[in-house]
Amino acid sequence: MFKAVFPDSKIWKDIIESICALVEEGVFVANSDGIKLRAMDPSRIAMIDLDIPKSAFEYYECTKEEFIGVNFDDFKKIMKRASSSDKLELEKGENEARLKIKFKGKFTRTFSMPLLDIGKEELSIPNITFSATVKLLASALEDAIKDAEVVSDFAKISAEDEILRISASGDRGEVEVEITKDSGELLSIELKESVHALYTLSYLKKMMSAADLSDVCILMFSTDMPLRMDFGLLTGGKITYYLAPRMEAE
Amino acid sequence: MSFKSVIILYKKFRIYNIGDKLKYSELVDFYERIGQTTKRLEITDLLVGLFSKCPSDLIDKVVYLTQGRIFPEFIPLELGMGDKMIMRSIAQAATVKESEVEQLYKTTGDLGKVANILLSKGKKQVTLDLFSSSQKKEPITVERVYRDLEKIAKAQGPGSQEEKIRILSDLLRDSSPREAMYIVRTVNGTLRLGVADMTILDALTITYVGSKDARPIVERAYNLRSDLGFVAKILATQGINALKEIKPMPGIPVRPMLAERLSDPIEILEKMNGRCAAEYKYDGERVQIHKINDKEIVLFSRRLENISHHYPDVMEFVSNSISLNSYIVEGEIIAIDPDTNEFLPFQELMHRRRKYDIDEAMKKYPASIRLFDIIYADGVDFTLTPYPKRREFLSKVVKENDRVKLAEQKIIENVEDLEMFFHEAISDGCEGLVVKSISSESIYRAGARGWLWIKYKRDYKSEMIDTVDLVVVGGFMGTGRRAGCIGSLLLAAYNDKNDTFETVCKCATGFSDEEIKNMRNILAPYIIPHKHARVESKITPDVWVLPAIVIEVIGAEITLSPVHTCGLNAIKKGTGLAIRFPRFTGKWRYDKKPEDATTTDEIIEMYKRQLKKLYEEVESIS
Repeated sequence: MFKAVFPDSKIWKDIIESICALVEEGVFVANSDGIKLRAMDPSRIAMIDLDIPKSAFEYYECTKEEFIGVNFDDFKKIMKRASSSDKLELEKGENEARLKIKFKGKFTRTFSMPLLDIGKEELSIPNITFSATVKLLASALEDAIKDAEVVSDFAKISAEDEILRISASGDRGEVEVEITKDSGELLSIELKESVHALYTLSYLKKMMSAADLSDVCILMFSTDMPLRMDFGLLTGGKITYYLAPRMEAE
Repeated sequence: MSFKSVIILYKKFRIYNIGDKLKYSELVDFYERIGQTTKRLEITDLLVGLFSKCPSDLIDKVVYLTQGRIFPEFIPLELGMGDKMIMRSIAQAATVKESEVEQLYKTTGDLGKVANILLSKGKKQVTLDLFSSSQKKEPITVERVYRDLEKIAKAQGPGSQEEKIRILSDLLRDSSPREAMYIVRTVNGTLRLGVADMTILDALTITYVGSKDARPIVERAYNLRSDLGFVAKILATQGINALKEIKPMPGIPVRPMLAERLSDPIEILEKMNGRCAAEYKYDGERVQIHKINDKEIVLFSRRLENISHHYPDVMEFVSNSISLNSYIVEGEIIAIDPDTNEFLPFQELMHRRRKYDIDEAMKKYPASIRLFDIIYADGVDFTLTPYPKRREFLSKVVKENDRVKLAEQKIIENVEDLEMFFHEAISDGCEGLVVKSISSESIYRAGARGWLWIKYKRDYKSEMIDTVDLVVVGGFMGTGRRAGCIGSLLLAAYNDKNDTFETVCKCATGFSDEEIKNMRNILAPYIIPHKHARVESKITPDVWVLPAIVIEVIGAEITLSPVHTCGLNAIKKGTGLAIRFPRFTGKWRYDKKPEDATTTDEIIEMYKRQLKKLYEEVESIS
């Protein structure tokens, strides 16, 4: 038996959308501590790691570990029906292959969604020591990505001294965006060394869909290594993305 | 290098084991080297080198990939990825815009090269797997490539396009630019290594048997199963003795026996030692019909494609007329005009090739079949049985009806009979004859073109350009929709020297339904109980008609004919002239008297004037 009440269904809608940007299907694992989800996009270039602790919920009950396999597109469609003042109630009976999704507002609406029986792949998060940890406003990063997209499909992200630099070049021209502490957009930066790596913009853009959930994001990366991007949730819990870099072909 | 030294050299290298892996890059090495030579012996050497490195459980896949395919040709599974889908996969693998792929394709014209260039260009998107401790990036294997291509082929239904693109882009992302080039070429069917089937058979024999003596056994197995991968697998895993036991198997096409071609009846009869069986060569589609355990029926074309879905009607009536549980028979599917029972030209059957409207095509152009051979029947392999015995057995197990018949056949012992039968075939709408040996050596030589069968076709053709005006001298009762009506007319030209009317064709097409319905009324004033004295005819129609009505007709050509009297003996002794595939133009020439009709001399003149040497026809159809 699993039952959880989330105070604001709007937040849950944003969570589902930020998963949906990367993966079509996945398995929520619910246990007595809370809900987790780890999934890789079909091309295995990016990964999402979601962790929502029990404390983020108004009410939480999970008697034994439950695997809740979901088609996120379908889930998203249901969540779109939520009104902002609605409370959200999720419920799954033991050995039931359906998830009940209740919106409680002026009146109660109950959706029931069939669950998927998806074999669960044990995914491990990339084992990397990051040389750069940068905390910044999500909106600043979002703008920089949009700027880079004007000229290229991928961007170089580099950190040196107190500056985070996002630059791109292509047939259409070049662009360079500097994010510094002066403007207040860069909140903190910790470097072991100066670092730089290339990332595909279409993926960065998808990952920015979590910016609706948090004004601040934390970037972690190293030279020619995957990028990690964290978004903390207001209710507690966080969404972490990993993105593989572009590297010189052999 | 001699054959023997090649064998010795490569035997040293035979170190494969089941479960061993073959890197795809090794296959690519081979592809590249093959591209640099056109010499058959060198290609054979390269193949032997490749096969020797190949684990035996993988050999069939390596053989298919070498042919640029995934399955033997008779398996109706295709990768189903057009250029657009491949371009999207490349774009995703290289994480570039589709427009960039398209642009490059325009300039290079080779998607393989496009993949190569884009994947080697600058920084390539890698996957997260590269950074997880559990999975190390390994070079891709032949097995992986084959498995992924197989998955692409098998992805069907809604969402399958996306699935195919995803599998291919993942595969391309994991491969080196060089490997990607060959994978893409395999997917879009442009690998074209130019390795002949026979060269692969040579290499298989050297690799797995070592002795050239075994070559005929290997080739026979291939001809009976049409599947190089299968032959390779049996050789690699069970050896040459297992291959000896191979029989035809219903459901798997036998490579058809083919005929040589001659146009001189004297030469033909000489080749046959003076005695042979001559059969109509129908202008249709050659087909091999397989029945599997009294259940499924499958039709294969001459090129071994599964064409069952074109001919559901043929499957049904053949199934009903052959009293065996499992068999492989061969015949020619022909289109017959249901209203006149005349053969229609081959083109009419091509309507069946369209994907849609099979039902409509079945109604409009009903198919019939003329069976001529049997290859396998209830466990018995007939390929080593002489032709007369095969034909005799066939005649015993086939219950003939309107749609299913054995091919028209005559045993021939002299040139005159052969020629007569030939002209009969032509004027019946056939292409000519297939003359077959009836000696004790006349086995079914699968996959071979030889002198046991000889196509007897015309050298010359007299195309008809102008219309002619012909006199109605008789009528035939129609069948099918035209039952109860006069469905076709016996037409004659006017012989102004003898003041007679000489028959030149039977015409059934070009009349409207209305005209057919009224035909009896139209002819009524002229119907007479016997042949008119001025009409010369070897044919007896259902009704005789007084020569009075003239109609305009156009045909495909004028041919020699033993059954019509027009111009009898003028070109050749014992034969007249006939108009092939005549068609009423719609003009009733009431303005003309029968004596104003086209004369016999004019038709002879037309025949001579329009006689043209026939070029060797392309062999793809018949």
